[in-house]
Amino acid sequence: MKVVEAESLSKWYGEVNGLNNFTATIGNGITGLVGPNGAGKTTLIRLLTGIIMQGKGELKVLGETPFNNPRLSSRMGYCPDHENLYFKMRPSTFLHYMARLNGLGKKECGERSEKCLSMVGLAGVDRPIGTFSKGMKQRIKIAQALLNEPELLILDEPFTGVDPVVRANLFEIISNLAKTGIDVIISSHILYDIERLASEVLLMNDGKMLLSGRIGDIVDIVDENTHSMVIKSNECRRLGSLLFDNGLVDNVDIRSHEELLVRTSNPNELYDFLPKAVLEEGIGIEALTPVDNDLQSIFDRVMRR
Amino acid sequence: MNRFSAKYGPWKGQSTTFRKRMSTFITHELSSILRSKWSLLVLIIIYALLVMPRIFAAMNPIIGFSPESYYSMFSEMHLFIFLYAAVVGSGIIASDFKNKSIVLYLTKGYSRFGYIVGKFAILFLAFSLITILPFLIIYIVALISSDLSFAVLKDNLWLLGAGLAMGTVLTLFLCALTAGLSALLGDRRYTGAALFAVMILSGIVSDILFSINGNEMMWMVSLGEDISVIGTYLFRLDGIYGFNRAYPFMIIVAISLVMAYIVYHYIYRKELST
Repeated sequence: MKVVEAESLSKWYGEVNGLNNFTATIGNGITGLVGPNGAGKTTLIRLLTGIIMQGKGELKVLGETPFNNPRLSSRMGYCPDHENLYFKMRPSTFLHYMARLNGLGKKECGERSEKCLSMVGLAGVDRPIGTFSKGMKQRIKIAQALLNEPELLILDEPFTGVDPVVRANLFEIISNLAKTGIDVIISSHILYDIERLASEVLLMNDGKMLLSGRIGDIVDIVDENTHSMVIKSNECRRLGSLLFDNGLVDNVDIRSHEELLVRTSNPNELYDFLPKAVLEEGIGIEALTPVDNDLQSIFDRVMRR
Repeated sequence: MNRFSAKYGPWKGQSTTFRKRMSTFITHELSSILRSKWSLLVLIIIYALLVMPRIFAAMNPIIGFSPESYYSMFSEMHLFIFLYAAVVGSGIIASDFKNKSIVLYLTKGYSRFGYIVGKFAILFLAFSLITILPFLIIYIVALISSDLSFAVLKDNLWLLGAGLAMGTVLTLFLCALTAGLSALLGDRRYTGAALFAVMILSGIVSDILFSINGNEMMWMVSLGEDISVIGTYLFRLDGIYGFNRAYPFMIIVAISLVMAYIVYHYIYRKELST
């Protein structure tokens, strides 16, 4: 079954083009939307979730038109990129309210909320959401998207700003969800996030789809390049030498007391190693951000092929 | 890293009806609005200064069923009503835009129409606390004080209708104005200031225009005056106005419709900045 069918989809924000003649089909399983900032990923997700309406073209999600379609919304779960949560609420109260909005009965709300909280590792956490770390907020956003037993889960940039440990946890959660038969659409500007999860990928740039296909084929193209990423850590020097000693990076540049820029030809191994550095070496890593220039060079390369 | 004690399992339950879901939405929002200390403060001030004295006065049956008494209650309340609207309702849509929580509603099986109806219902219930409810309390106290006679009730049934109509017109107008400004301005502080400005400036402009050309039609520029004129009509009081008393009603209806359209436009047509 086709989860999404988009035909010549265009969306303009005044004079700014959000999506330009976008045509794609998304099937079952986990599908990644990858592109640099401004590629049109969030616009596409807003269209898929029915938050905005396309200017031109046809769009079907699970066989239905998404704009202002509550019946379809109740079949989907949406995890937005921003933290539009009720900061004063505690997680169980928040999920209970969201579950009620989703149409769950009073009795089922508590049970379902607890289940979803456990699933994202937040069971027993009882403090206001406003005090949560970025990773915890990401997890509770995923939990609220799962309350209604969605057929399709849409995750907008779920890995942005999370540390490697939380990243690994989120991978596990999303992989488990897909195994239960839920279709997942996940956006990211980090191709290697998607590689570990998605079977199919859509590469987007400037509101257009550049390329779609199996993740392995796309990664083969990308692997011809080296990759740069900025790591924020409380022990930059130790982390830098650790990465270098383990042969994980080609070059390390300590840019400040809390930030280092690394270049690597083995991004997969580097991503695998970072959670270990946190857990086994006790090095604090706050954030991991790929340098967009790399992604841009990939797109340039794809465009040339 | 064994922090995930539960695996995903589909929910097998039955969805509740749309009415129940809407009731959850309204109850939750209304209770969070009314739990605010500022809302409570304004509510207490209104009841202490304007409602309580009239409740005591209503124990005297002559005053209790006096149309002038009810009319003056609604008239004196204008400024407080707008203060209350500014405190209670200014964020009704603006806050959802600002913190983007509108996305949560629209992706949880609520239609845009359902969202708008829910928001109006929340405002209607919140504003009724200072329009319809005080009137009903005073009327019931007057009725009880007059030995609950059926004849008294029959004689003053029109007054019940008039008060309910006045309260409903005022509440609906406030709902539309507050929701419209909240959607238009997208910020609760600006909305609160605009509500005051609309009320006070329209009165000032009306006075200036009247002093310039002496035409009583200029009174209709003042929203407070428009509401008062509607009050004189509903409570069957003589109004010495140099214009048809239907005009202010038409002005209030027109403004309400424009504001309702603004809400519709911002929720349906304008890009939600999400």
